[in-house]
Amino acid sequence: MGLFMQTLINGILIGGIFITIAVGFSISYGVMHIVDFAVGEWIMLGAFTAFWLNMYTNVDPLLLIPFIALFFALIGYLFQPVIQKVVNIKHRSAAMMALAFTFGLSTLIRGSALTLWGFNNRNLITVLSEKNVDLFGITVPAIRAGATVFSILVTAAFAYFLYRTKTGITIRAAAENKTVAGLMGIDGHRISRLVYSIYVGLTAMSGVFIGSIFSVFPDMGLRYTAFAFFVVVAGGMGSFSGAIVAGLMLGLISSFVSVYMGGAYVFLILFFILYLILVFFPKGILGKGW
Amino acid sequence: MELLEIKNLQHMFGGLKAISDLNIKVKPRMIYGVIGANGAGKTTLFNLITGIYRPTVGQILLEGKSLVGKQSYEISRLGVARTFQNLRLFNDLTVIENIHIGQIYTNRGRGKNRTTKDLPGEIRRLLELFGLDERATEKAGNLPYGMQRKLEIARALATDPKLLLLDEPAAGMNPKEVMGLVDLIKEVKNQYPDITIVLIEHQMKLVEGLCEYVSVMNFGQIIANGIVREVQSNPIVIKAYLGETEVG
Amino acid sequence: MLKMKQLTQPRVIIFILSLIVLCTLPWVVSSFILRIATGIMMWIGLALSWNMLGGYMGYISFGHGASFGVGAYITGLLMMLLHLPFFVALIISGVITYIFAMIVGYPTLRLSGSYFAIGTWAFAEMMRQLVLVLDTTGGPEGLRLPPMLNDNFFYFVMFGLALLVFLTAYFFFENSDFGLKVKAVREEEVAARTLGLNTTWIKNQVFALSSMFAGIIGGAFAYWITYIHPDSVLGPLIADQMVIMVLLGGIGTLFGPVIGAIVLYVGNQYMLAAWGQSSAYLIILGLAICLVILFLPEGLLSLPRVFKSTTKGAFARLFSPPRKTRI
Repeated sequence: MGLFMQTLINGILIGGIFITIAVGFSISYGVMHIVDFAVGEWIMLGAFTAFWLNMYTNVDPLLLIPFIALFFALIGYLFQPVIQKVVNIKHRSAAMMALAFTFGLSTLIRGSALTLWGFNNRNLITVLSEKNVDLFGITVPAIRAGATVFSILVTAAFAYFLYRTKTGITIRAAAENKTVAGLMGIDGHRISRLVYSIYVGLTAMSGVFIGSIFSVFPDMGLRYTAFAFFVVVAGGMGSFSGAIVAGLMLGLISSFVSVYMGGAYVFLILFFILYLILVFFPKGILGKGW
Repeated sequence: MELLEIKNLQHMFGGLKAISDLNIKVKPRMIYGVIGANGAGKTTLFNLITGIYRPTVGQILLEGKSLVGKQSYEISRLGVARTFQNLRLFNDLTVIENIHIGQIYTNRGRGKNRTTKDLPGEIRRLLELFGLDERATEKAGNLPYGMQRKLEIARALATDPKLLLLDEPAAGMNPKEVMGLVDLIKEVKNQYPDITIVLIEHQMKLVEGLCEYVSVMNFGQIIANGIVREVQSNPIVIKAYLGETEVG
Repeated sequence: MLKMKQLTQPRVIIFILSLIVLCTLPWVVSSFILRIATGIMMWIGLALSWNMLGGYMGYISFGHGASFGVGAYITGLLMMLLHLPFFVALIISGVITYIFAMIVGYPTLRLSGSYFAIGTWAFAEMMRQLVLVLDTTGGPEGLRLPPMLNDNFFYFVMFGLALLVFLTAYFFFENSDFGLKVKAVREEEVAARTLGLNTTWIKNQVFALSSMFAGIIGGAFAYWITYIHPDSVLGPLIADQMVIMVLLGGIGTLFGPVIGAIVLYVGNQYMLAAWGQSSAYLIILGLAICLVILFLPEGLLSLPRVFKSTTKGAFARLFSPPRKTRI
């Protein structure tokens, strides 16, 4: 029973972080209609930025989070026009070209990271590392609890932004129907740029948490790309509530499978479920995707 | 016997009734018009006939054979061809290739071998009829809009259909082009006298010039049937449809 | 059948001459060069097989490596467990990958666009994870095949396979009604269906056919390198390289994948020789995709045309009198 509860709590806590990634990813898909294969690389870059900054400045990685979020939001803001250019290419399958472009981008970033930093694992030490908190009688690492609480707060803030502010409502309108939004005088390009920037910032920020819970290594992106796809596909592309359910589901599945079946099976099971959901519930398990 | 008979057709999108209790009878060799405002369910009707959607309730019979539950390609091989309101050409293929693809199943899947028709000759005939012969080797996507519309009709005709469904063939055309299209469809009917044409339109001009018989749709239902002159003077129709636009 | 008139066309003569040259290659070049030529042949075959699905039919797959890996493993297992001769094992593994792809293709091909790309990618990763935990396949330790050290043999095997795929692409995809139907699926699936094309069947055929070729080539590769493990034959890099080769050369064309395979493979081998095994290859690979998509979306094959039109434009600007501008 103790193991079960431990696994359950762990699963929920990890799921909390995936939700943040999924929400950004899925709203960016909604607006730009590009599946970003580089999502895991932004996580990796966020984690590494925290690692190097911490090494040279000794500032706690958790305190670096606002800076990293803003810095990557800026990168996203500056980089978005390049992706927009690919989307606008006159080609018989522009969307597929954009997909392949992000695929190339992820290969490029991963290759650069491997070449620069090698294959080694690094640990991101924060003030919460190696501390524990007591949650319903279960001892959990403080960093996991902290990361989850923070992620939930960020996600809630983002939800507030999307549903309660004028810009947020504009974004949702653009995500639901670009042409109609265009008719209503919404500048699609400005919205795309803003959304991509938010998405990259949120994702890199989550990277700091993921890096401090697990470890930091150049090859880590691939795994989190898979996770992000899982959450977004299972939740339904662009669905906020779907992303929350799917994020928790992902956390629980990976936590239970690794405890009860062994770590080697985690990805086998996850990819299998991902494939089944895609084929049988292409709009997500809640049926709320676009 | 009727060529096309639709009985008690009903179709729902979610909880929304797009088509309700619709009945149509089309006699062979007719040009039949279905008119109605945007959103009246006209395109949905075509999508039901061609098997893109499956009706919730009702029957669709082609020469007495049911089309409901059949796949689009099977329906096409039985002799139903269509065009699309928003063009769906094979843009990266040439004009000839577009028409040629239409010809591949001209045997209509009736268990016989390929038709004995002279297929390359048929392509030449269609190109000439639609004035596409000079641009036959160009990519369909590079044609001007009006020619793309014609190519879609040519491609549909290449399947050697019994029933040709035209979905707003005059969409996006100016009045002069519409008159040209009327003449063209008349010429098509002249050269292929056995074909039955059903066309969807909301421009009255085209319907007046072509159709012997029309049905008026409003909110997924047929509100009037009859000869064009009769329907135009029907008060229900005027109120529901013609009244909204300038008559004349 | 081929007629005498067709046989004397210049391009047919060039084709036959180049076949003869390629057949004499083992007696002309060193064994190092021959091994590179073998690798080129293999990748030409793989790139062409991916192009059937991604280029002609427009279904971008990031999981085509799964077919390659499945073929490699089946060939290996048939040779090791049942002691079948190589060619028998190869043919059986081709048949099995074909059937396997039919079964997988049926649900997967209901997806389209990005969903299809993610679906195939997830499926391929699933296969890799499966092979990693299975005992019969040796798990992460991999599988060893009976050694065979004959460079000429493998050169001709790969050459033959590449030729087979090339001719299939030429006769079935470039010059036949079947090819037109496949392109119709790419351009407008709904319209294709209303013109009598059974698109489900067409898509399954193309998927199975292209997977079969990748599977057979995978089988030949397994025997060639004699030792396979999940990361070498089921790793994402296999599929990545197929995609990149096709994009680099020119997607949806006959010669694009051939050129892309040659350029990328030779480049890869050169880098291996110059820098050794290095992750820098990934940088080049990624950069190549990004740059090609940004600046040359039709691939290297369109380079002469692009060059011609830009120089023509430049000449025209140089020699034509300045245009009067009206305001």
